[in-house]
Amino acid sequence: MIHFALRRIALIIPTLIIILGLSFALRDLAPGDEAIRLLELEGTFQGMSKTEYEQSYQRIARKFALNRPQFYFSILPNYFPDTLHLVLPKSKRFLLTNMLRQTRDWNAVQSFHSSLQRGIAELEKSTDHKDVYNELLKLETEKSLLDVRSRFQRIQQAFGKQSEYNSLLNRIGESIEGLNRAHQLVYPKFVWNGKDCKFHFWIARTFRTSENISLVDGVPVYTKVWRALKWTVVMSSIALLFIAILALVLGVTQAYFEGSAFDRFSSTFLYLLYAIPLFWLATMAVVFFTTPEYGTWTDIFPSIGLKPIFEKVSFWSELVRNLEQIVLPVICMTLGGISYLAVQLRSDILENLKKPFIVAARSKGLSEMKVLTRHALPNAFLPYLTILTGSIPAIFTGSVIIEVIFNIPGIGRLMLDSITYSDWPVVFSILVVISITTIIGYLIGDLLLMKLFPKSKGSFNLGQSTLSSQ
Amino acid sequence: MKKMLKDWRLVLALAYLSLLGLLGILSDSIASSDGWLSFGPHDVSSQAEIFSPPGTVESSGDTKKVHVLGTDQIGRDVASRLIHGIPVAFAVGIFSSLITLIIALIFGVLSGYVGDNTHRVSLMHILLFMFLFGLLHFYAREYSFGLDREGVVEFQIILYFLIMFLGTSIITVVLSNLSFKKIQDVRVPWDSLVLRLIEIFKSIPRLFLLLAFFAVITSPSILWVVLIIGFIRWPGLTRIIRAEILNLKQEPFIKSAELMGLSKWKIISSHILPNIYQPILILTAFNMGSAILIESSLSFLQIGIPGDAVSWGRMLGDARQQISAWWLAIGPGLLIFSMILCFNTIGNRLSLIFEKNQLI
Repeated sequence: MIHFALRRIALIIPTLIIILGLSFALRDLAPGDEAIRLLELEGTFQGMSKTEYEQSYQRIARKFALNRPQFYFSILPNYFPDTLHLVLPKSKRFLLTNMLRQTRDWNAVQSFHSSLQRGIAELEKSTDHKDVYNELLKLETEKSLLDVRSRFQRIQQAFGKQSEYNSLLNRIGESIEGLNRAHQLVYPKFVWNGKDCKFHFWIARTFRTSENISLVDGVPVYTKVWRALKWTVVMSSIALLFIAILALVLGVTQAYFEGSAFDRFSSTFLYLLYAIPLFWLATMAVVFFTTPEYGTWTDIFPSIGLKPIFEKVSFWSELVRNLEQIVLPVICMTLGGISYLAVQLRSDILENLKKPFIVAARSKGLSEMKVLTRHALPNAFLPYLTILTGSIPAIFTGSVIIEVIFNIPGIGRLMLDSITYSDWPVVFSILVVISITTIIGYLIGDLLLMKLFPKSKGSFNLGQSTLSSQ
Repeated sequence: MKKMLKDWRLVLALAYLSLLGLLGILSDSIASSDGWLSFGPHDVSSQAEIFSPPGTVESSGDTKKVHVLGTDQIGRDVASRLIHGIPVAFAVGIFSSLITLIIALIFGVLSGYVGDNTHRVSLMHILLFMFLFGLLHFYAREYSFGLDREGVVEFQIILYFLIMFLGTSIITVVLSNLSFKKIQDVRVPWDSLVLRLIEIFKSIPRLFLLLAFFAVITSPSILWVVLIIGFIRWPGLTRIIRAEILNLKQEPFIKSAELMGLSKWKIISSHILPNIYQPILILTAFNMGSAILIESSLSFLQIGIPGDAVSWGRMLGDARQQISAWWLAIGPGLLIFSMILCFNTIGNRLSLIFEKNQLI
């Protein structure tokens, strides 16, 4: 027992690593420049000179490891320098990388970069060259060599005739002229970065709470996620409990009265319920049962959303105060998850009722109710509990929709809002946290099943679970 | 076949779906400004009123146009939009479940038939394959056939990886036949690998994973929706195909085919696959329904299908702005519901006909 439980827990580790890796990869693909958002958050954006701005950018980038390579090692073309990842900001690094790929000549790219930098620095000192200065700044945010060339041509046409810029523009022009494709042998090279990489930092930060902050308001991500997770877990647990009880009652009653009008009616009802989209059901419930729009007698439940709070209260007292607000959402979640479980339980019990040991039990003279509850039901209980714990992720999935419709500040709504604001630290931390929550749910379910059915040995939802389908 | 035609529920569901399909095919001629409904899905005429109830007449000069099912929040005709949503729903349902099926078949055969102990590969081949794949990928990128050009679309990404995979496989096979043959054999535990992958997928709630994927995509399109929904749903189908194949493997005719010395490919293609078409058919029917459900849930949350395409889920999401406009919520909801119901019925009745365990 202990052995299996430990083995089961150890199986979580590789799963977790892969989930962390996946969310890191997705986060790295996400658009936008995190450092700019963090700078805006600090509020030190306005009225800054370029050098000051760049300095604070560098500081932020160093703090959040934005100037590091992605992974423990990288495989680069041979003409790449080892230090390209140090170039900041992100947009400039993107441009230089593209130019480097097009020309395969780091020296030429570097000389272009330094001449441009010098030109910008010269113009920055005095205030009367603002137009050229701004144009040159735009040069840095271009995407490729071709764009740089065409933009520079336009700059030269506009300002090249003025003698004061002549030498400066000529210098940059020469360095752009020098950007030609170098013909050389290309081969990959292997660079070892050690643990100074984004991936390492990101994994470490997942477990350190203070450095992982939201891009919207600077609040530590886990404070936000934890607050939201409480709502989701409480609501999902209540719904799961209702699903378990109602499906059990319904399945057993249906099996007991097999073929009766009740059985046929409730089976049809469950069958229809299974096909109803949860979001439609919830929207309809909101429209009909929370507003007097379609007759006052349907206005049973209070309007959606939580009651406003004006003082700081603990989560539990807020929950108690909002108990009537979460009645309808929980009903919707229960309706969304009940049908599959109930139908499966009914058919499992009916299957067991055909087996020889039931005939033996009946011939002993047991009442039909006893046959059902003592003999058929316990044998149908294993698949019932497996399906129940297996539906945890589906409940979380449903909770996203329910939270959006009923305006409850749970984790699904936090995820959606964070996507809207491109708040990547929150989005991908939620992905990790919700997966861990699911895994814990599975673990509890599996340990429970292990306790109840010691013969079936081991895991049901994770690990060897999938062997059960043999 | 006869059994199928006798089943009135199955026939009814198929008939309803064919009717919808026909409407979907003809959607451009039925629901356009010079068609039957006299409104296109994006038409906002000058006198269009927002949230006008069903039956509102719009008259300009002699011609009278009727909004059969009213208008939405910017004055577009609801009926026309409903009809234009049909092809989108069918495309998502059919193509994404096809993708799911392909992935699940590959993984199912690998883990069910090949299993943990039978496939032995020279370690050299694996290393060679990985090395060549990396090298090809590197040079493709260097000589700008790679993926980080601008304007690369979903289709090109798939094509790229298919070509890379096939190319690498061919080169590996050719090279390995030329030189080193038996260096060191290692067992490839396909079954365990696939099972672990399923486990990882099962640990992430599906909608959260979908949201994370779509958050990263900067240019959403229907093709992305189809691809990602198709990709994300493989574990369930794989498990069942695997279980079917494991049962099949115990059958005498497979054993005798093995003893006769038929090749693995021959056994898989002419003995395994023809014998698992029934569960595949059943599950694909269910899959189509749930793919449509996932797509509409995503669109309901304003994610996935881009704003300029018509999607029932998005229409329902928009309907929440004005709860007194019931005509906005009833139509798309009923269509989604009825489509899912039909696909479920088909799967359900088929499993009765094939005498398999009913899934719902």
